[in-house]
Amino acid sequence: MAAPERAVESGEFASTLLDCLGPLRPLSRRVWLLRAVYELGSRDIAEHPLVRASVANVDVILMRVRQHLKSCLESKGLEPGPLPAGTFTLIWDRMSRAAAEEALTPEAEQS
Amino acid sequence: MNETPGTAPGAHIGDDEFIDLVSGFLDDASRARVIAHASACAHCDARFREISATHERGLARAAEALREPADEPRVHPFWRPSVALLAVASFIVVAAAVFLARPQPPPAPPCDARPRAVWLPSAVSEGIRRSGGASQAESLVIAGVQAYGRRDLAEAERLLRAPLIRSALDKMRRLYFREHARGAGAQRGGDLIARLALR
Repeated sequence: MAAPERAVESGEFASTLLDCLGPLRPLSRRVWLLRAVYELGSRDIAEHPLVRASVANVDVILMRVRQHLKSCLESKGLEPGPLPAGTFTLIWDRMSRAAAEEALTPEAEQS
Repeated sequence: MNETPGTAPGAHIGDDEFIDLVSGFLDDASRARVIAHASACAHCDARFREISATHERGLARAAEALREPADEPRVHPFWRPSVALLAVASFIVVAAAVFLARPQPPPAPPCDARPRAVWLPSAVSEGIRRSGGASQAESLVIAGVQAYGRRDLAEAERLLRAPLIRSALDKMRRLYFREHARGAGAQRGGDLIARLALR
């Protein structure tokens, strides 16, 4: 059974989190999603067809994204931590839409 | 757990529909319905997360398994196993060719080859005799050398064997007797030399 009040909370968290992820490069967002949400190892992330980077590069990207998200979420009054229930679906929806748009504009990867 | 959505209000989203969502097979209406439900349902949200993670992990593993050799870390061509083995084999062949083509030294004589006899100059005996004062033993040595010079080997052996006392010419006697023995035969000469050396 759906819980409306929780949906609101997860929606707010998802929006804030996505706002913080917005300025990052698509590759950095993708790497963070694969690790923080899907819990893939660095090797699997490096081999992912949408990443194709070295393991060391993946680790560096993750470190930078974590630092950025920590400071960004704290500046908005949120604590970095596990995703609240229901948050994943919203993040997935937003990021999959963004990925589809980026696929139409490949030059976005270079920014 | 795998209930079909839409058949009963409030039912959880089934795995098949989540898989279709992840794979991009749902139309916009179905996608919006599944997203709306899963974002408000902790159970479906967690299940969708598991299925998505499995899907992404599968993409990574499949990409790794299907990776072409060109994507392997670059290795200098020499250090590839086939090239390295070919290089080692070529080196062995060239080294063998060089070894076999080198100038060959003259073949060594067989171990049981008979020593070649060397005829000593017999004229030296005349000078020894003129030096005077030859003893009986030395006279026999001189006579033996003279027989040796005539190639009368039987007489030379008899005379050179006769002296039983050591004299100034004993070394000469041994030298001529050794050469005579070599000419007579290796086995016989060896035996005679051994006997003379013991005296």
